[in-house]
Amino acid sequence: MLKDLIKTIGDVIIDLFKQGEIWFVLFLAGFAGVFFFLPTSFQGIIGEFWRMTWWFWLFIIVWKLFLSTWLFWRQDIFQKELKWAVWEIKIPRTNEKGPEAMEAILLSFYGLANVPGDPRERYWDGEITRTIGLEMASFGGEVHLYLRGYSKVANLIEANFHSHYPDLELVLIEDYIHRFPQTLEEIYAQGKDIFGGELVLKKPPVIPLKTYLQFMNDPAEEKRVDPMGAFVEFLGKLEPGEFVAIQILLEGAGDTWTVGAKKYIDEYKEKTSGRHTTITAAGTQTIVNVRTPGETDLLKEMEVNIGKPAFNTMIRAVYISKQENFYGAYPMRGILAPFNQYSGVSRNSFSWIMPQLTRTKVWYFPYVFPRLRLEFRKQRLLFNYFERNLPWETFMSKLLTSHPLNQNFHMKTSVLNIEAIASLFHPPTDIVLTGPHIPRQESRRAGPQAGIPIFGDDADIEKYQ
Amino acid sequence: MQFFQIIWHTILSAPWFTYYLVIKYVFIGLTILVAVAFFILLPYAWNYGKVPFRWKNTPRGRRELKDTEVFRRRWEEILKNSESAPPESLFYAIGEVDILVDDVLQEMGLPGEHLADRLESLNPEEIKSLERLWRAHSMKNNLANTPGFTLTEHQARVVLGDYEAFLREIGVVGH
Repeated sequence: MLKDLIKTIGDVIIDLFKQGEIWFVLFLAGFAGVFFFLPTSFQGIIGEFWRMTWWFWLFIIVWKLFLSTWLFWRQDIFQKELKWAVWEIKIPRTNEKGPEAMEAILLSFYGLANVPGDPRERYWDGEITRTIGLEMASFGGEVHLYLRGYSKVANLIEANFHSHYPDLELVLIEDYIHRFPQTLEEIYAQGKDIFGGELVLKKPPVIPLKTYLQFMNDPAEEKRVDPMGAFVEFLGKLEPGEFVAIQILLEGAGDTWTVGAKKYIDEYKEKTSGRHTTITAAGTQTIVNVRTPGETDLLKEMEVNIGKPAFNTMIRAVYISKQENFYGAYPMRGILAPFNQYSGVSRNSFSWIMPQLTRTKVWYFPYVFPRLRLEFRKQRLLFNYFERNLPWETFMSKLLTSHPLNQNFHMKTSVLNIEAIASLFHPPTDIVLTGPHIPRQESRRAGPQAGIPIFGDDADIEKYQ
Repeated sequence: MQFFQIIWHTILSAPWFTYYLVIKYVFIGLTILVAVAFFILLPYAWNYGKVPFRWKNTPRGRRELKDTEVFRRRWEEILKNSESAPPESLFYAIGEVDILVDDVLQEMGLPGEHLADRLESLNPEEIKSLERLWRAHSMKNNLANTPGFTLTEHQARVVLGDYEAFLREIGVVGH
């Protein structure tokens, strides 16, 4: 027990040194060492220490506050100036390409993501990663798929998309959110009500979801299932006057998250790596591995899971319906259900972030003004949906965007790799019957015939214009 | 050996307390600077990223149409007069019914100066015939303002039909 304690303390110290807090520790030691030899009481030492170094701690606090406010200000200005392009993904009558193509596209989107490279970009421009949005919306049962990206890389996004889905058509449209009522007041004026929230992974991101490899890779064609079917059918079952919109916002996650993930895998490996010896009736000894086949599979899948690039993913859903047949639990479970077809007992699963869900009760913290807080949550949800907000980075930004009745500290993203995201969102394949729900292209696109001169001088090109 | 002794003496005889004070006052100076910068920055950052929260979200301005009888009678009057000498009477009726629709929108409490302003605040998802009303209104404007613009009798009836579809949808006509 004592040994464990010492080991833990040792680990903590080693971690501290590893993380570059060595200077902090040295500073402490430098001052504390002086008083260690002074013949004063313990309280006296603390008081003396504080009296000698208060200006340093004050500086640290003020500096952190300033830096986080500064970053918030610059980042918001940066975000306000971005221009976005929104495409509708139009699907032809047949679509044989599966999620593999979507995964390849996401991989190239991962390459498009920007990160602030130098102090000027980070602190002066306030650069933040521009998101890619994969969105689904249903207007009274008519299902649409959308793609949203930064307008200056619009050509690259289109090119990446067409390179894997040459048949699909991307049509630039005005953002579809303008077809929604824009404020809560407008929603009420139309006699409607709104429900919505955000979804996160329940377990650490290293634990994989069930992906399309488990759904669609069966050699027997009749055993394949397209998980998009569940989304399309749910969205298609809406009645006129109802809206559902789901947005999946992606921001490249880098590989910092794999550090914790690898640690988790190592611990899991150690936990399941025991062997034990049994003696059979004949008197011979056999050594049995404790790790079960299921655990071996999970270990394998976790390693595959962290091997693919991942995105910080924000999943947000909104449901708007007429007040007379509004039933909050319908979207609450209806939206969660298609997302949780990817879950499993030993796998990961999704759940609503409760403090962000538009459902407040007097039984839950902070127990007061449930109705008023509900109104505020609805407004924040609409605002976040329209602005496509990801969680703010710094403490001050969360504080400054909070309201006494509605704090902004609960928004969270989950790390999903490209395989999982491709399973969550891809143009539905022929396996699912989407005929009545999704408006489709009647004609099929094909490339031009070979041999047409596509390279040439300006003079050559002018001839054909 | 002597070298180390020299270093040791230098360390011992250095004015450590002075150094400490210098560092302390530099830090205090920096703290004051940063604090001032923070309070200057705060008002700039204050307005960003805020959700436009409202305490009360009950719809303002919009009223349910209570007394549709007056409007319905006016509409019937216009319809009757429009058949007196087509197509000119139809053109006159278009102008009249445009005023009627404007009055209806005013009664609904929609904000704006002209009919077009009031229409802006209506939602096309909510009122299906809004697009037809826009078309009819622009026809009426052309008729009134563009010299030489004219409609055939059939076109004029279509325009009147568009107005009627709107009035029917919001419940002035029909029932």
